Amino acid sequence: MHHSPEGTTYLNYPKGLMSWLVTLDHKRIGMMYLASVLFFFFVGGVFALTIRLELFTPEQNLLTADQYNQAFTYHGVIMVFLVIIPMIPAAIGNFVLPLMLGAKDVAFPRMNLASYYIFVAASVMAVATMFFGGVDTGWTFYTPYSTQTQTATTLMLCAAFVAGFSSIFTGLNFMATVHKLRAPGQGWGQLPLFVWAIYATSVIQVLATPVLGLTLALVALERVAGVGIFDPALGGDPVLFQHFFWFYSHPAVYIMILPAMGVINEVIPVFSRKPIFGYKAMAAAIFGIALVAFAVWGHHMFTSGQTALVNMLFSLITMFVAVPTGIKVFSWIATMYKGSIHFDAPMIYAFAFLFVFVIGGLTGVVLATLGADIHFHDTYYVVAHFHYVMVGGTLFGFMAGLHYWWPKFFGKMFNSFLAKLSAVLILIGFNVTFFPQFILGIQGMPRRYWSYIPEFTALNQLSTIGSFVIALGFFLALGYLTHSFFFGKKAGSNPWRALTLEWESESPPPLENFRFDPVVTHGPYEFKGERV
Amino acid sequence: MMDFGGYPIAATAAAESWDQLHWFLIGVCVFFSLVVFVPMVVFAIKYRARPGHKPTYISHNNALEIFWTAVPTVILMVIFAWGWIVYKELVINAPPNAMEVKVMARSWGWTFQYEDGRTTNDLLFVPVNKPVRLVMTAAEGDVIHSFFVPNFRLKKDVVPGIYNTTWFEARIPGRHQFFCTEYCGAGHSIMIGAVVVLEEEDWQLWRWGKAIDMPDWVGIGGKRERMLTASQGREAAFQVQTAHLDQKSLIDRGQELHRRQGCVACHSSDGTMGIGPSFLGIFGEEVELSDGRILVRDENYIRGQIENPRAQIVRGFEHAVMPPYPGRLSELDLNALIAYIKSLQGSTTAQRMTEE
Repeated sequence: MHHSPEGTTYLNYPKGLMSWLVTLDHKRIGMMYLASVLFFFFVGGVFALTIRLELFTPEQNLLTADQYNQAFTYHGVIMVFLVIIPMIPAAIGNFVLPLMLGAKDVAFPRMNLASYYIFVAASVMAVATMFFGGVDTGWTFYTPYSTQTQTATTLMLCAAFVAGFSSIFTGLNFMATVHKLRAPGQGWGQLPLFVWAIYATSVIQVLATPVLGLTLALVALERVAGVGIFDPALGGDPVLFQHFFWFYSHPAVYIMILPAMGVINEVIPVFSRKPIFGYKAMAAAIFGIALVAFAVWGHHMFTSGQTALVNMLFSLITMFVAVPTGIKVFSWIATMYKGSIHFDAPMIYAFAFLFVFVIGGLTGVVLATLGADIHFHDTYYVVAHFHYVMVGGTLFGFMAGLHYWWPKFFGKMFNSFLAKLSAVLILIGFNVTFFPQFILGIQGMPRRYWSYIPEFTALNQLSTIGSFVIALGFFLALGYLTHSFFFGKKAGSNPWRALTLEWESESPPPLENFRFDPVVTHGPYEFKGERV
Repeated sequence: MMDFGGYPIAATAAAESWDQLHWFLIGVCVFFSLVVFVPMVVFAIKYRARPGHKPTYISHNNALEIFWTAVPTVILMVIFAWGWIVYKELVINAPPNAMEVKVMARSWGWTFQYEDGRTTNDLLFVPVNKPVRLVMTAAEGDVIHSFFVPNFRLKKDVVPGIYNTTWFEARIPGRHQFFCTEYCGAGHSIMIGAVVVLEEEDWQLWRWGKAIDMPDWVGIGGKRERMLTASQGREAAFQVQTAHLDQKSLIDRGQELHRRQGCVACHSSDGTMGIGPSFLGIFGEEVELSDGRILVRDENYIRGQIENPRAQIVRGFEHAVMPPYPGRLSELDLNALIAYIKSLQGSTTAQRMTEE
């Protein structure tokens, strides 16, 4: 039964604002997530630029110390909880995952809608804190600072707590969908690797997020009721908070990066016209990373006073994250070998991803090295490292995915030249912004400093200049994507000649996705070439 | 002119070991970057889509995949081991003869308390080429801070309620910038200071309360000061603040507290069994607790027992009653009391120390 009339798409059928607000269609929910995420990306970005402007000179430029502390807190909280975590799974994944499986929708459409509105509620709470005195704890909410500071921290803790449920709902939903709603003929070995990545992400979301929720709830309880769990003044242990927090938040790093790897897994084979190199190793590597993710949290605490033995074990286990990550990077390069490489915008972003992610990953090994981290911990080296992974990795992965599936989302093409120009601008701006921060870290500049000693001025100025080049690149993207949305050329169902199921449906797809019952007869990357 | 600064100066032997590790890591990073980037660029050019060019169907290659799993694993294990060795040298291996300085952080400043009972703020004075062990904590009711000396490649969090320790032996006299590296609110970025490493003769003068010329900055630090003095047209050199001269040494002050706070009623200093264990010869020694655990009575144990006596009670004293003292002793008094207990070396301890 496919009851959407011929010629209609999910965008225009059913009609009316209410039909969007109470929609159970995964595509519409995905697009509402996309709009929200892009809005908060803009807000978080404004905070980032404000931070960089303040740091243009060592002295006060436009913010007081308190305002600066709030600015980096909002930048972190918004970017982590409202942008990077939902960016690929909840926005792109919601749209693409059921299509890739040949399904009409996710397994639990109502839960999916609930997840979106929970996300909205959390966002409203997070923004509301700005009108109740603001939050200045940093996105990490370290105790006892977070239990003592007189700002709207309790409300922000509640916001992060609530946002966690949206994440858990999405994860549960995707897991059930992957297990139950695959098209006939689509075994686990025929799943696109994007699906594997989203699936692994969902497992982490479901297992780790409750720990964060409980931890933040405990901090809130301590603030409100004076329960002594983390604050030593109340008989608590502040370092315990760090254990709880990173038990979630390190796996959360992989919640952020795995989906981006999933996107790159799709883009590189399609634009190299070749099968992904080592499908099984790639799928296994995703799960290898997800598994190790749960046993490395202590590497955030090498200087906290935990015992030398514990430090040693966490350093050792963390090294093993690099092995599956290396497998993935080498396999992407091997996928290009003897391919036929097309330099469309998604592929340019995939190149940018590889370039930046490799630097982010390798400096991660440096930080996992116990002795080395003693100097680098809480310096700008760490800031540079995680921006190379989170921005370079996740954001470039997102941009690759956004451009790759844009024709599917809206049925329109974008200006290819401008897209590539903006990708190059963002890549250059990114490196000018964050590479100097590695050097600042080596020289010893601590993070979260509102003012700094004048010796660090030149590198900070370079970094600030770079951040505005990034902003320029994103404004360009906003321009040509808006133009495409209204006036873009029709895309056709499969402009990139990809082989996964979402491209067999129309662009944009109709309600319930397919006007026929999709059957999988080949692997996701069986590009015909000369067989050897 | 843009002045980007250089590589930081290594002012301790451990920092030099750290640098060797770091250059090795930079080498590994550059090598693997090239391993990825060179093929990426070469393939992008060589296999670009063009008329007449067809891709070759390749799905996997087991030998290659095993190779690029195994080789990085081996290299990672080398990195791990080297990292552990440097960590031991940097943080753990404090020589037993190290001079001890108590560090107390508060929002937003630092107090250093020396063995002779004196304190200084935001400037840590130490002699050159002498190992210094830092016993650090944050003020009661304060938040976490972190003590970071880039020239020493050294960092340790300063946590309220517990003692964290670290050590260094500075080889280069002068002022070495230090920072607070754990976010602690509005004053975080001004919670900075210097480790003032003095030549032996200056150290002797300073110890006896004489004024000395402040040595120059080493590596980063001092630019703001130079800019200020230049704009005011004055000489940069100035005299050190004279440290508070508390006439009593830490140990004397601890002995007085032992008496005044009433500890002496239950805890003797001469080995006599009282209601509670005697303080003689307990520091650094193993003890069996009532629940059968064995642990070493160090700074953290003594502090914990003062604040919460029933938490880790010694076997045989299960029925002794002691009031908990959280917040009744200042951090500086706690340091004094612990220094006093530490000074009460029993005959066995003293014997062992002389053998060493």
